[in-house]
Amino acid sequence: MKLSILLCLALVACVLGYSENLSLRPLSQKYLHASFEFEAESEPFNTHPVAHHDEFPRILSQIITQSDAREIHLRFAQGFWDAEEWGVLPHNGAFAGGTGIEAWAWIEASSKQEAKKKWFGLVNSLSGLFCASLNFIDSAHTVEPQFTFKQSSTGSNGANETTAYLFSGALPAEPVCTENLTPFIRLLPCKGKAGISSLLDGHKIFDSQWQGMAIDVHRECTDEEACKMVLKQTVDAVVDVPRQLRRNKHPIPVPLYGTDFRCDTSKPYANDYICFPLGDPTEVSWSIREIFGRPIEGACRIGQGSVNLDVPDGWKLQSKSGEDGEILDTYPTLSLANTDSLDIILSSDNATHVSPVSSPPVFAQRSFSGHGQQRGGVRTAFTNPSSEPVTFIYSETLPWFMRFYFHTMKLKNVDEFGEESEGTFEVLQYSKSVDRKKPTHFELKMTIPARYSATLGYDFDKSMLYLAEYPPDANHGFSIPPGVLTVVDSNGTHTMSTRTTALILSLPTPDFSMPYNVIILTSTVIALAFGSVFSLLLKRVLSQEQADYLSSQTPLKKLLAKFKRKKVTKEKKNQ
Amino acid sequence: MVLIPKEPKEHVERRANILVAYILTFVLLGMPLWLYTTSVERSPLPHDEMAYYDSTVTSELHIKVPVVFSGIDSDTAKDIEAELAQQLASQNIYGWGIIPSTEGVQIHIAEADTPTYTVDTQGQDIKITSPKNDLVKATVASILSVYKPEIQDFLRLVGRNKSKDDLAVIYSPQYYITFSLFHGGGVPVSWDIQPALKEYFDPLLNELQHVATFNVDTQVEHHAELSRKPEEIVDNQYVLTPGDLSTFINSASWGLSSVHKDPTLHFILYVPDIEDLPMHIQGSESDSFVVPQWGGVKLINGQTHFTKEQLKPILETFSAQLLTLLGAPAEPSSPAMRISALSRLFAVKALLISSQTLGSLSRLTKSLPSIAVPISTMNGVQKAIEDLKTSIESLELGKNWKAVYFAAESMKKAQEGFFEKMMVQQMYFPDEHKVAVYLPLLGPIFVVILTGFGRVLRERKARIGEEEAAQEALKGLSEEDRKKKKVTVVAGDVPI
Repeated sequence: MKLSILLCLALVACVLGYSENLSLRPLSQKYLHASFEFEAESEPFNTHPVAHHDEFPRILSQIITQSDAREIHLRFAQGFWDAEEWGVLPHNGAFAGGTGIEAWAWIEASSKQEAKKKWFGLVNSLSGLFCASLNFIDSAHTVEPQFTFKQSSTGSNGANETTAYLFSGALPAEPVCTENLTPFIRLLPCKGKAGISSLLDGHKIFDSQWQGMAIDVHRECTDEEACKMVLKQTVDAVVDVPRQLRRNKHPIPVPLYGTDFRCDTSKPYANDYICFPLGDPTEVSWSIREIFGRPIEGACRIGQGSVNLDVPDGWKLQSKSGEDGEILDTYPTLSLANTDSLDIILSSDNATHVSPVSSPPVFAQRSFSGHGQQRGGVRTAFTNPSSEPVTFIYSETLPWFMRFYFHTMKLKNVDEFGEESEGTFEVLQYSKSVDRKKPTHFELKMTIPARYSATLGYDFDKSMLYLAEYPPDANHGFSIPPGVLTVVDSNGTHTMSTRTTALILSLPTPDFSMPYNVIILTSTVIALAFGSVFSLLLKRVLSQEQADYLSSQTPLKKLLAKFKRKKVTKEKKNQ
Repeated sequence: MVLIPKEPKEHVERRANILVAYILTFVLLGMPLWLYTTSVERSPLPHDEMAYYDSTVTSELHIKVPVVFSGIDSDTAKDIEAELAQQLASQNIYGWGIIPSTEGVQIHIAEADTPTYTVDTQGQDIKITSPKNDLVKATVASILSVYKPEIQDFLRLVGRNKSKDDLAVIYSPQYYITFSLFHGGGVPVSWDIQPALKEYFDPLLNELQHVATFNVDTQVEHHAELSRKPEEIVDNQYVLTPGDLSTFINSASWGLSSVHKDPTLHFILYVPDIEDLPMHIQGSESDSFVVPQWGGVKLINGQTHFTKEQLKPILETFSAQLLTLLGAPAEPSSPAMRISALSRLFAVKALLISSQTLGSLSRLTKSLPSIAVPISTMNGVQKAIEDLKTSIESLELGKNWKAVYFAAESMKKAQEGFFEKMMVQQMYFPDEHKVAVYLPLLGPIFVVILTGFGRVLRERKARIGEEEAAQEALKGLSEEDRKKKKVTVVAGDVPI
């Protein structure tokens, strides 16, 4: 029985189209970059969409069929990727999105209106599947970038060559948390119970400096007949290792004991009571169980699984199989084979010695300039640290209430000696905004010479919105989606992609008590206007003396007069 | 002392007229204008017809099974038809009957000594034998016993028999069927479902396409654990009690969700964790059970790969479960006859839903005068009623497929009319907004006019008091004296 199972395993594992890979790479002194990749293929299908599913999730296939999508890309990201310390984004930025949620898809349809309707249906279905508010991507958030994204679908679906329209939308203010990770894990064949996905725990992943989740589906057609959908899921996280180890020891932060201090004893004033602290220790030793809270719970028996450790010489790699297994030395690449739990231990004497990071060809930083509630400006600083000129496509989406002035866009080049000059850029696409219907969107192509830095700036006006359009915390501001930067080489292929940070724009807020004020004002005006005219018509005109006399005859006045007379007589009496 | 001259009468009257003019303007000009501009669009709905169909559609339904007699002449056929109708009428069943036609159930009548009947297991043939003199009665008795389950189901649908809970899923013109292979553990399992469906399931599916549209889907999932491990262990095997069965489907972690609104029928082939104990269902020979209005489950232990031949009995179980879930009567077991019965029952179900929707819509629009009734709803309702009538006619003529089609159309249009977005939008106009808009405008006006009204009334009362006092003063005098005397009314100490 067992033998037949093993034979089946061997046979089946070779045939199925699923593979997963975990890559661990220590960064500088204390950070660890963990990258989980999962790839699944669907059954081949002809013109009709897939009906039989094995590793490819059925719900995703239904969503693709319903919206006629050729490709879907979804990105969830939180945190900040320090490009100067950590180099290029993982996978050359192909699977890293901007803060919040980003989605883009190629939809097949006969006309753009039809495709746009299907796009809105698609984001609604995805929002239900991933428990994320993607359904807020309406026409005021949707753009059609032509140059920033390239299709990864290959071949043609022989029967009908319909045009595919690209739509993209971003929601930088959406929080990403465990409720988005759980449906992500449920799409995997092993569902987080075995294989690499057993390490994915919301508490650890979302506690990191930078994390990103990516879901990419595209279609590959090899010949006229057989097409298949390919699903690639990626989770990247940059974990702060000493912090994680500290939290394992003390889940609630406590002050260190005196004996735990690491003091610089070479200082002249060092004694038992004065301590100049040293940095984090450079001798490190940690295991997967300490970082992720559990070891890899055995291999996922569907498809192939492997672990890749990207460390230079000088690091000691050990692995431990099972609960009571021995600790053995291991190679940097291991494939997951048996069902025992696997723990990997990395140790080093000098944790600052890590695999070299390749510096990205361009850094980008974006910020607001100007002050006041009426207008402002945006400045993006591009720096080229390398010795080659770099060409890239820069795409930005601005919401309609940021009234952008294209004629104010200027590029200023500064060379390494500080000399300024006017730069030029090519406008690939510019689409003007329509109030409440369409955002501003432009794509520029720029070349920055070696070791130059360039600043792109433009001005905009802030506008007032309707009362109901302000979010509950109106003074927090509105999130502006990050700018997307795609480096192209001389042939036009996209080599690297990165994003700036999202910005928070504070718009002038109205006086939210105005509805009440309007009601009071209107009542006063009506009462005065109508009341005055009405009383003039209905009242009798008397002279002042007559009026005074009449008013003194009212019962109240008579009563008061009586008291006054009594008082006067009393005084007279006293006198 | 200040002298205030008395006002001439015209002035006082003029003031009263001004007030009356104001009030009349508001009432005669303002109110109609306001009502006209704030009224909601309400297209006229045929409420009588809608209420009529809602209450009496069940008595309008006359299902007729098309039969083709062979072995007898047309007179005998008419006798059989009349006798059947009479027998059913004696049981107070008026909605069901047979109609001789050119296509349908083939009834072969032959002579023999004993009255018997046999029903074909695959096709739509009924063979009836009876002695010569008793032909009509024997035929009628045979037909009634063959179709008894269908008649019971029909009576239950129209509300005459209150019986056990319905296993059948709600009617829809489009269904999705998902075949799932779930394994409780991590060992890879697979099945040759594509060729198996083509050979063993497609014939049934092609027959069913007349009745509704079916889309088929399959999937394989691993690590599909039960929400709770069964407690009973007998002979080193898990035994699932009926209580365990009710919590068997772990909807939270199994991939059972869909994105479309049409109902999905799930058929699950569950292989318990191979590394754990095998599982059996208490009291079931075939280890399978039906989840009412949802789907069916079959348990198979220890197998990791299912070939086409091995899937044959499994698909047969699922086919039988499918027909039960759709609401086809259990007997006669021939699939063709079950599907034919299903078409009639589907038509009835769709017509019931359609008429109930129309009735609810009529009651809703009547009871909530503030919701709008757009023209699209009115058109939808009219078309729904037309299709309803066409469907009822087709049922009477025995044209089942046409009846199902028009019944489905009628249901669709009635539901579209009911769930019209514009109607719902008007409902949720909050009262606070109305107060906020009307109060500052009408409030001051109303108050001012009220005080003016009060003043005019007071003046009138004062004047009447004066006149009476004046009359009193001049009481004892003659006519000429009255004209000569001047009456000064004093208010307080001052004459006015």
